[in-house]
Amino acid sequence: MGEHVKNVKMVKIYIMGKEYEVPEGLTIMKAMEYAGYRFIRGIGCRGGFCGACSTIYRMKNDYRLYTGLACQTTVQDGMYLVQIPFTPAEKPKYNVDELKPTGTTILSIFPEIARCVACNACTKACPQNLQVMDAIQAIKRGDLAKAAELCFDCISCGLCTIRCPAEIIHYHAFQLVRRLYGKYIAKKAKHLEERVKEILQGKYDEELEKLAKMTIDEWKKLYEERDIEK
Amino acid sequence: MNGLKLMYFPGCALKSTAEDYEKTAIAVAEKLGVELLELERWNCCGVVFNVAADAVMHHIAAVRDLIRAQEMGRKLNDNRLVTICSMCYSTLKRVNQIVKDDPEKLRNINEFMDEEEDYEGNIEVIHLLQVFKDLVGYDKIKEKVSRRMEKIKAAPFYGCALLRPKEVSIDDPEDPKIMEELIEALGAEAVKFPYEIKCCSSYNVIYDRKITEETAAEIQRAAERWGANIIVTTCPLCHYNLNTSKRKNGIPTIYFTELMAYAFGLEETLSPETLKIFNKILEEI
Repeated sequence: MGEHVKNVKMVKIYIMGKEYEVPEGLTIMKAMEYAGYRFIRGIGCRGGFCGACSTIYRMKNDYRLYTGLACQTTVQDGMYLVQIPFTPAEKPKYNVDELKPTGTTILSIFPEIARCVACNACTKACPQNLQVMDAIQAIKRGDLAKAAELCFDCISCGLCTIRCPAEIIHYHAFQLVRRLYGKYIAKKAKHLEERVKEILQGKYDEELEKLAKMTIDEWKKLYEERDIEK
Repeated sequence: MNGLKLMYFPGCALKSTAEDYEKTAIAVAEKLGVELLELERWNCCGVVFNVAADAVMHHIAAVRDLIRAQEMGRKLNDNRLVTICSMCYSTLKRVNQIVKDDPEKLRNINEFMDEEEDYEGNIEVIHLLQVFKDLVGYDKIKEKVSRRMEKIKAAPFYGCALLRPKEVSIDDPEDPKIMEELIEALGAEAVKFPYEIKCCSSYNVIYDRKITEETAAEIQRAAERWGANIIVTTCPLCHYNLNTSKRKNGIPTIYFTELMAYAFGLEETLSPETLKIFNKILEEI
């Protein structure tokens, strides 16, 4: 170990069963890099938003299986951990323009939802602390607005899906819920419709052509002198 | 009696395929001074066939709903949970009974659901029919009837879930009278018929529609032979099976709350299809 970590308290962790000593306070991701792992997959934004670095772990003398994002969870002494970089699941193909915004639509594409026994394993696994089971139950009873609201912060990490005894593919189903909600149920933004209309009518064509002909330096100048919205 | 507030568990069917049932149930209860308060949070009860097996995993859904009722009941200072769908009634009532009778099983379930408070086993699951009979009373129901109903000859159809197993039956499982009494209180003619406690064929409809068509025809023919012009049910699955497998010109099946809504003059809560059924009966006679 290098000089710079001499005075830092070290903790013992087990990565896929192999013991490592790493400085305390690191995230699981940094600790694994410290231990010599190089991430190619199973890593993304490093900010807790992309859902790529799902991790499961157990602690010494604790029967529970814990879940977390490697970029957000700090290492603790006695942590047994492994990465779940991907949750195997087929992504069904559908054309959202041809679907009706009903629970039946979602159940016909994801019939496993009907097998939910409300065990709540999905909710316990969610690193975003979402009420995952309640969202699945809302789909089951056709309340898509409620389901979309409950799963709004889903980052598709797949930890719920890997824990589900009914083999539901929550994160794909949730994506469909939000698409149906956005397209058919949510209130339309009037100003957006008006702006799209203006664009289609060519209101900004002249301005765009002018921009396209500018040099990089002119661009920079324009950027620096822009009006900043207060 | 006025201002009675009771927790109720709607279940998935009442929120999707049986919306008319929920709408009329809430409206007629309100007319009788009963406010049905939907559980603030709930999940699918797990449905009857899950309760048939001795598998704790399949009882979790129902116990979780009983915990939701326990949480909300504490605020209301009331432990009664009203169900409307027969299947939800049976599932919640049966699981409630199982965990009350078997503390070991309840402990297992409570320990598994360590994210919830423990279920203490003191929720009482009741059916809306019992609310009307025992808490409202037929005299009060009679007072609210605003329409002449004698041309409506309604055959009560109980099916399975309200009566079997007998431990959770809301009435005599072989000779029930609760719906008959209600129909008579509404001023309609109650047509008791031999198939009133028969199974509608239940989920066989998924595997073989023919079974359901044959069963529905038997039930409808029997009700017609005994003089009925309408069948009244409490169960969304019986309703679905009897109506979607109906013979041409066979008599229709409605929810008991729709009959009540009609009798009380709450036409605005009835679907155009149900109103058409009533109008047709009155025209024919």
